[in-house]
Amino acid sequence: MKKILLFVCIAALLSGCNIRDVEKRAFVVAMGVDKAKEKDKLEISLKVSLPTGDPKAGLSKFTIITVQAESIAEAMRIAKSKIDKELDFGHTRVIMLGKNLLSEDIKPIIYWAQRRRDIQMISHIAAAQPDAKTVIAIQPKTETIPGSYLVNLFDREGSESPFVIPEYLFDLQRKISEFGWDPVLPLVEAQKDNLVVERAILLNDEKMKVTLSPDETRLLNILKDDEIKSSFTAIEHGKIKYTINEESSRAKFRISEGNHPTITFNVKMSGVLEEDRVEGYFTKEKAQEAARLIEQELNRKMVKLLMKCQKSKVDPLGFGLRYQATHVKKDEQEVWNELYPRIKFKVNSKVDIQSTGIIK
Amino acid sequence: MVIKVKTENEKVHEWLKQQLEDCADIDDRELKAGDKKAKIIYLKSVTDSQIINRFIITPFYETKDTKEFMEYVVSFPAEMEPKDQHEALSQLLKGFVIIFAENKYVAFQAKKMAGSGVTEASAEVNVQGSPDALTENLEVNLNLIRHRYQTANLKVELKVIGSISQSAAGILYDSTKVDNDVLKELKKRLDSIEAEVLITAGELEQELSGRKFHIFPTVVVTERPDRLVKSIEQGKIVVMLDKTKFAIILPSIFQDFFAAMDDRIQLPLVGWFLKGIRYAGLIATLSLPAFYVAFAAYNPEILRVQLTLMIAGSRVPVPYPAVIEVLLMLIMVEFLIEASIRLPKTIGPTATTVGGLILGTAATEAGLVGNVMIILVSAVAITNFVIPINMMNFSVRVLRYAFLLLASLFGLVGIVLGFVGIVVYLSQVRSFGRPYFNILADTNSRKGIS
Amino acid sequence: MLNNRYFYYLLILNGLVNSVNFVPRILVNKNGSLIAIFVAVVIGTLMIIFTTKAMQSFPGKELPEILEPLFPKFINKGMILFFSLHWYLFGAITLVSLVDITHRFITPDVNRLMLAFGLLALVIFACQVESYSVLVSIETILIVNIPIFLYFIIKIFSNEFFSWDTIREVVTDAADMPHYTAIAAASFIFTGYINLVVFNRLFKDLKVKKIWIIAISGLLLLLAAYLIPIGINGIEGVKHQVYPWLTTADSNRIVFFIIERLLFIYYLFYITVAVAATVLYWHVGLRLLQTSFFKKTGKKFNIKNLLLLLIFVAGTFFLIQLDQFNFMKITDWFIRVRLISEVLLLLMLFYAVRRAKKA
Repeated sequence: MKKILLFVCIAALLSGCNIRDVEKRAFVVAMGVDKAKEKDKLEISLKVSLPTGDPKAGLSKFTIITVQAESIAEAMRIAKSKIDKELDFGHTRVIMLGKNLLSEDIKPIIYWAQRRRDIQMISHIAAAQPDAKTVIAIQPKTETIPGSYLVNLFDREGSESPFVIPEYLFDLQRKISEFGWDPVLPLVEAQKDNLVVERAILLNDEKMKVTLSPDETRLLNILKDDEIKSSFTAIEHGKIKYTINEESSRAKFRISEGNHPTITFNVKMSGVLEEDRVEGYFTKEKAQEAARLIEQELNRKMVKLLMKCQKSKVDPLGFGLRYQATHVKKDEQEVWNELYPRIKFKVNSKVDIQSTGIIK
Repeated sequence: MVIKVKTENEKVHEWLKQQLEDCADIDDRELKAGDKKAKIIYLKSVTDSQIINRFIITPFYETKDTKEFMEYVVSFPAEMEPKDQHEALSQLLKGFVIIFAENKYVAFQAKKMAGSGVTEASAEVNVQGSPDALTENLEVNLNLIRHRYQTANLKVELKVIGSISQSAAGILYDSTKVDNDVLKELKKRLDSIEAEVLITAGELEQELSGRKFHIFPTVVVTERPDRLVKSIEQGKIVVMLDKTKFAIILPSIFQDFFAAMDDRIQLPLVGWFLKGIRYAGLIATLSLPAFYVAFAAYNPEILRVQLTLMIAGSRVPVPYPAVIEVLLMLIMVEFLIEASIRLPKTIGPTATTVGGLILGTAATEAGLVGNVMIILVSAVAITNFVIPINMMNFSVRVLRYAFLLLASLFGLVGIVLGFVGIVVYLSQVRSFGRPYFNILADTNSRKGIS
Repeated sequence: MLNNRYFYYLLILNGLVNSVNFVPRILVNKNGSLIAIFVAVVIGTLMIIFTTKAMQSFPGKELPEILEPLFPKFINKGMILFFSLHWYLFGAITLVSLVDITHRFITPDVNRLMLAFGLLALVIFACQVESYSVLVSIETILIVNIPIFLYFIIKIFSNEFFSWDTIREVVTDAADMPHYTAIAAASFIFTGYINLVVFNRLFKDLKVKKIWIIAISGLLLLLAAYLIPIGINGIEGVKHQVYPWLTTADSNRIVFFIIERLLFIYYLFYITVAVAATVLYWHVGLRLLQTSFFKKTGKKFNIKNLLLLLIFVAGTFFLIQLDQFNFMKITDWFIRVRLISEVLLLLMLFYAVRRAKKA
């Protein structure tokens, strides 16, 4: 008994008083980093959620704190004087990088986020247009909790859009440090009072290289071998004939060397017919025709996309890593650096229409 | 003047009267008919006057002389001859009538059976098992056991403990299955009990377990004969104390406290599920308040953002730290529980309603405690009652505060420290020299697996 | 006497606690770790076979009793002191890194000294209970925690972001000379058997059956310990991590649960296992010192014991106030020296067995 009392006394003495209860913390649900107008300065915007006493009133109140400083760490210190509560980054699930920032080295920001204990490694990193401040200040109508709009999109918990390529912090950091594997960031665009994510930005290990169109983003998603649902149309002579709803896809690639080094992609898709604009029942012949049309279109577009990556010297699909992984030589990195610019691409896609829906 | 020499009988009679001088319930009378003469002395409060009338007074007037009367009395199995005056006194106190006649004195049992009949178990209720509970009478209890365990191996040893209360304690065991070391240890401990008055089984339990400071009960106190029989069959020892409705079972293991008697009636799958629920309840009731504090004060990032914001929102109007909030509500609930136990059955539910519903709602609306807190506290209170044996129930109730303290000092780590501490503490506890805790132990095994 | 399963608990506990803290950090930072792992499996398995065999010749005896007839008294005592230092250090290092992890990842608001105080209070209480009780506690903790560990492993392997290409790259680039430190670290996983020096007293008839199961599960554990952080954090990325496994745990998301970050679940698993390991190792160290320096029946036992515990505590506080770089240097050195001492101990046991057979 005495021992326990002693224990409690010493523990109480040692503990001091630095407990901050939940309501005394300001939860930063999203954070944005931009280049400030002043030279060599960053503009940090923090989206801080404000819990209210009445649960029925909803949880969607928030405020934005904007700070300009030389470094992020410095900005955090300054931000402390702008709010009466302790800033808590434990729930920062989205970090937005302004598009103007992407033309510079983003590594310091990533390392900062990685080093902090409270920022989760499963936070999402995204690029923002026109800038991060504008994007995080927007509250779309369907957002129930501050910041939940983007998190739901990126986590693919709510809508499962084929145009979103999410990038986790841990994934981004390994792609930055790994040879032959480059990051892809989703681009969030502010449109009036809504946010649209339909494009992606390809980076090399430091800065932005090229922005993809929505269609290219979708194709890249399929090539990444993500389980993603999408739809494709069979067009002949500029006329839409069929649309299929693609339900599962698999993409695999193989690197072959020799005189004509090539990367061969095998893409397999299966789906269901959704729209048929041609008269008559949807027969097997029509299915084959639709598949052929879609395959041709896909092959052409995908090769174009891959060549675009190659031209801008980025490697979002990890070809370099695969090359390294399949070769034992010590100088494989130099060999690959020489090989990649002249490699050829080939895509074999296979579309399988499994059902025609309720009617034929 | 003739010097009348006091006979031995008169001396004893005098002495007995002297000892019970101020007792209002003593009855000392002389029976006389012709030359027949006898004295009887007894305590009215513990004897049955009908028995005295039928077996002592009536025969006295019907027999020819005192000698025949004494022969008649002696022929009853209820008659005993005390060795000396001290034994006579103790028998007198137990409800015997001391009869002085023919230069000798005998004790005649005329005990009043004030014990209640067999009633239904009230402290350890179950759904489908036998409803019987022990009574306050040792013999009736033995009867209940004998009926359920019919073998000559069931041994009953009687011991008297408590220098004043003189409580009879029956030690029951199956001689073919009992662990003799434990039996020896038990007898040693029973002999060393120095208490003057011992009335409840709980007191006996504390006297027996020896250590002054312990958190968990090491012997099961129960009121169910079926549990006793099951334990005897497993080779355990049962100690029954006269005049209490409870008996104790030893040695016990931790898991015994989580087994209800109707577990065996259930289908195996259901039984497993029920057991799982109980252990989950144990963990929940111990750690929920602590988790709340660790969450609110140290690690708000542990839960999903929706939950975090909700809890933070519910705590906005609360003017004090989470620890105080939890403590306040927990103690409130303790008051409620205590009050509803002690209150008469007719008012009990009212108190619960007033306390639980009105106080809870009002406290939230006034902003004294958060909404989430109310849910949590009721969950804690409910899960606590999942544990079937009361003794363990109470231990867990107290232990919760230790967890709360640890969590408020160390956060999440504190809770882990608490659990590891309990595991180590449990594994070094011994119940009558037998290991008390082993996670793989089964309630059906005697010693736990080693 | 005591069921043989308790011996396996010693192995499992040691394997689990080491496979997530020091060992992976050393392995990912050294070249040729994959070969080192295979070498370590062979070494570790052989050590288990030889030591248990040797210990079987002394049923019911502890190390000090075994050494007694071999050398003069002061050499014996010196050796016991040297060996028990290992157990003490291992416990202390685990404890200090626990404090560090907690402070770094979980509760930066709690004072380090405060944390250390809480952990020490528990460990000091726990390491003084009977050997049997220590084993029972370990059993409980393992039975509760192994499912969590398995869940954790499955969760990571089913993560779609787990990169098999990086694993392949590690395998194709494995042809390097293994580093001694890497071998020593990898063989650390198997060291659980060494606690027999004290627990041998409780085992009357210890037989280690199916040694290949131990070898294979050790190999799998090592591969998991080494490759999982690489698969999630990348070959280069993982070298940045101070605690690769904790970062790896943080890189996984639990979708259907009120807790979203796997880190916390993993942390709860690690801290329980690590506290249990510290208790085990300090118990062994304490018992070794107690039996050879002051008998429990002897007078002034309490004072001497208290003094010893104070030294334990003081040493721990010394380690706590070290900075990250020095502390890691000490752990690395400990891991390197450990393997040599283990071999030394084994040789001594062989000598003891030969002497016992001649006599």
